[in-house]
Order: sequence, then C-alpha cells, then structure tokens
Amino acid sequence: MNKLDGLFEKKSKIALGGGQKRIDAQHARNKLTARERMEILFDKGSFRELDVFVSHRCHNFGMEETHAPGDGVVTGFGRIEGRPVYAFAQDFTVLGGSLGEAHADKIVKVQQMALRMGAPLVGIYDSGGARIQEGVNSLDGFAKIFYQNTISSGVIPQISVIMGPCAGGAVYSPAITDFIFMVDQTSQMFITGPLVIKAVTGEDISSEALGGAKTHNTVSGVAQFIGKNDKEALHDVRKLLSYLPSSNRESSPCLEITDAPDRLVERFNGFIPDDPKKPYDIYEIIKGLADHGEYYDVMPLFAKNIATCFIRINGKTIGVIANQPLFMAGCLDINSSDKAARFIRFCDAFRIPLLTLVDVPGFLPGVEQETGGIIRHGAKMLFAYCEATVPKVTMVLRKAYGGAYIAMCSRGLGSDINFAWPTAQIAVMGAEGAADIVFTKEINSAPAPEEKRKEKIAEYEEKFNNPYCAAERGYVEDIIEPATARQKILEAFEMLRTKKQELPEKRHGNIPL
Amino acid sequence: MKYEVKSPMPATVLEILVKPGEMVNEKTIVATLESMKMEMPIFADADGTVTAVSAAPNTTVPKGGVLVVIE
Repeated sequence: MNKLDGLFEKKSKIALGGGQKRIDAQHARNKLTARERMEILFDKGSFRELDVFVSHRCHNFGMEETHAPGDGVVTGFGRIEGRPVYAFAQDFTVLGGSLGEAHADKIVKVQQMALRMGAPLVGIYDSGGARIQEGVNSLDGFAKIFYQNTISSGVIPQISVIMGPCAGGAVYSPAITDFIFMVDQTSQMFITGPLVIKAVTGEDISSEALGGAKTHNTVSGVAQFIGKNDKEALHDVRKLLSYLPSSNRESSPCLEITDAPDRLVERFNGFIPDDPKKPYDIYEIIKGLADHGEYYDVMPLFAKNIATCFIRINGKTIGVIANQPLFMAGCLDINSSDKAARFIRFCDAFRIPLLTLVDVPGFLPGVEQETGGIIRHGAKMLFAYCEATVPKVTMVLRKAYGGAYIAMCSRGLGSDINFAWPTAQIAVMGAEGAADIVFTKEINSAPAPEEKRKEKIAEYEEKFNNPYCAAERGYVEDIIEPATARQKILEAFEMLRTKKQELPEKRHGNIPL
Repeated sequence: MKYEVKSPMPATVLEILVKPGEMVNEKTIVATLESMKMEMPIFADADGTVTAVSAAPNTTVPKGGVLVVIE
C-alpha cells in the first residue's frame, strides 16, 4: 500500500468516529453526528477540519488500549454566508463525547484562533461530561475552555448549540457565551441530574422536565432559542449570524437596500386602540418598521412581556427592545429586566444600534417581585442602557409611566433621539392613580365625590397624559405621525452613524448582578 | 395529556370565552383577564378539548391560578 492510500485509509476511519454502530445509535435518537452537523452549519463544502489525528495520552484504567478518533471532538473552520466562522462539535459516538485533556486542547485551540482572527465561534455540545479516567486533567480542560469563553466575550460572537447531554460543570461553557440554542427532546442541561437530586432532596423529575429545551427556554431563561430538530437549530444559527458582525472590530453586514427608505406605514395611523385598556401585538409595529417585515426574535418564549429582536432598517442591523402589551400588560418585572439588559449589552458590545419602543404601564407590583429583587434586576436594565454608547433611538407609542418610562431608555438615560406618537402618555402615573393622590382633599370634600373624581381624572388626563408636556421640555425631540415612523427612525439612525461617545476611563463598571 | 391554562400574573377575570367540550387550538383565546389596568387575552397554548373551566368572571386569580383545563 502506498503512503497516499495509507492517509486515505486513516482519514476515512477517523471520519467514522466511534464506528457505524454508534452512528446508527445516534441517528436512532434523532440526532446527527458531529460531522453531519458541521456540514449543515457551514456553507456547502466549506468546512475544514483541524487536529484530525489528535489522540489522548491517558494510561489509566486500560485507556491505553482505547482508540478515540479525534478524541471525541471535531474542530475547524469554514464559511457561513461567505464569512469565516470557527466551530467545534463534540462527537457523542466517541467515548460518549467525554472531555479529556486532548479533547479540551483541541477546543481551546479553535477558540484562540477565532479570537485572534476576529470571527464568530459556534460550539456544539453533545457529551457525557468529564472523562473520568483522565481525572483532574479533564477538569483543567473545562476550566481552560471557560477562561477562553470569558476573555472572548464581547470580542467575537459566541453561540452554543446544545444537541445532547451537557451536564455538570460542562454547562458553564455555553452559559458564558452569548446565545444558547437547544433542540427539543434531545438536549438537556443541568448542574446535577435527576438521580443526584432524588438522592439529596427526594424530588422526582425527568431529565427533560429538569433541563430540557422547553424548560430552559420558558422557565429558567438559560437558553434563548429552541429548534425542533438538529437541522432546524443549525439553520437558525446561520440566520442569527447573518445579523451579527464577525467581531467587535467590525459593523454588522449591510445588505443591499431593497425596501424603500421613505416607505410610509399607513396602517400605523389609528393603530393604537383609543381605549387605554386594550392590548395590541407589538410585533405588528416591529414588522412595519423592519425592512421587508423581517425580524429575528431573541428569547421569544421567555418573559414575553418584553420583545427583544434583531431587525434591519435600511439594510443595517438594529436591536429592538419593546414592551408587549399583549402579555402581562407589557409591564416590567424581574425576568423582562434581565432579558432586556442582556440583549442591550450584547448589542452595545457589537456596535448594534438600539431602538426602544415604549408602551409600559409600570413595574409589576407584588411581594414576589419585591422580595425576588426587582430592585437589583431592574437596575441591570437601567445600567445597561446608560452604559451603551451605540446610537439609541426611543419611540413612545402609548403609556410611559414613572420609573418604567425612565427604564425604557428615556432621554435622561442617554437616548439620542426620542420620538412620541400623538397617542403617547408620558407621565408620572396613570390618570386615575394620580387624580386620587393629587386631589384627595377636593374629591373627599365634594358633595358628590365620585363625580368630582371623574372630573379630576379628566382634568389630569387633559393636562398631563399626552406627549406635549415632555416635548415642551425637550425630553421628546418630536411628536410624529405614526405612518412616518419607519422613515423618521431610519433617518435618525443614518444621522447617528458617526456618533462617538467616550465613557470615563475605568477598568470596568460594576453592573448590579 | 392534561394541560392547565394558568394566569401569568395576579389578575381579575373579565370573561371566560370557552365551555367544556369545546375544541381549541394554541391560538384560541380562552379568557380575558385584567391587570395593571390592561386587558389581557389568554391563549390556550395547546390543542385539545376543554374539560373544565376553573375560574369565574369577576373573581381574582393569583399568579399560576388555573383558568381552564385542556385535554
């Protein structure tokens, strides 16, 4: 056999990972193999594998006899929509994707390359955890991966895709990254699994209910996205990346402008219900503003009272934060504050301008919220907005009351341009509550208190529940015809493109975590 | 499978819009609640048949209070 045939034979053996039997088992669980996943993630035929021949050097417990192709992880680089991206995918068919020293070294190498070259990193997790035979070496391997994730944060976008088990300490690699995708029914994340929980606390729970995709997307807020299967999740990763810059050194890709910059959205006139109690779907507004009505929703299933999504306006990526009146009255609470704060910080780190759409009745009252720490959670959102130096445009659609008005990027928090619709009500509080406090004496001493109350509510509404008071003081730059909203926002962001703002020199701020 | 449609927050029930035996899908609005001076449509979030209505108009429900049961 000549040397070339020898190479081909070695490579084709490695390409089979843990062998056909294990590949079939992987497929039987509705999971693709590491290499199949890479093929879907990257542009056709563009993926190039690194460290194909790396193997472990463990001699404990008979490991010297165990051959582990690629040491259970596939790493490399390729292109996604033409742009370079680095990735690793744990190979469950090889020793259950367990992480040993060589496995970790391969991951760290590709992490370092992504950081040095300034390109996104995608990590695909499908692993039984630490390789016990390699002892503390595998623990150190995890630590090095977490370190690399952390120092890369804010420099390159890091996306994690959970496509199998990801348990114990291993969860902290994805947890440190920017976005987590999970696949419904085939992925789980938890620190301690159902067996340990049963032994320690006596609680009975399945691994899917404990750490499955639905739990982390709807209840815990650990994951941002859910895919029906491997293929759908990987296509969504490609789509997300299309909105993002390759690193913080660049701006997001600018698409060819194919949606008219001066397009009017006639349906916005009269869109906001006259009755302040009536909800509407904020996504109808977002779609009207976005190029071609397209948006990419981040955390669509968690804290639905606030929407965070990427859209394009005039071909450029914009991060939208918007109250959703359709869900929980669109109020701010612990979860929506956390969701918004994290999104704002991601956008700011990667030069993505922020558009804030306001229709907020206030912070959610309640013992649960107060004792749950709404003060420190809400503070994250204010902190994130103040600290963000990207262009910030705010548009008040309807209610903007009290602390929640401030929190939704008011002028004082540093928004550059503030628009209001004629339906806006920018005030300390709603008319009923305000009238009761301001006119207590007058109402109580009137011959017909209930009538007097109504009169005073109407008086307050007339005087304060409008956008004109705020505009008179310059807190709102302009009150606009709703149909022109897209045009006005587009012009504002074009004007703000050259914005330059420096914060005072510091090591870093101390966001209330 | 039994699915309970719950209130996402403390609220007053304005209307229950379904009756036992009625078929619903994810997008069906099963109830309207009011909280923070806002009306709130509650979607079924599951496909199936309504087997029980557990809340009445003009009463209050806590967060997590069951409104209707779908099977």
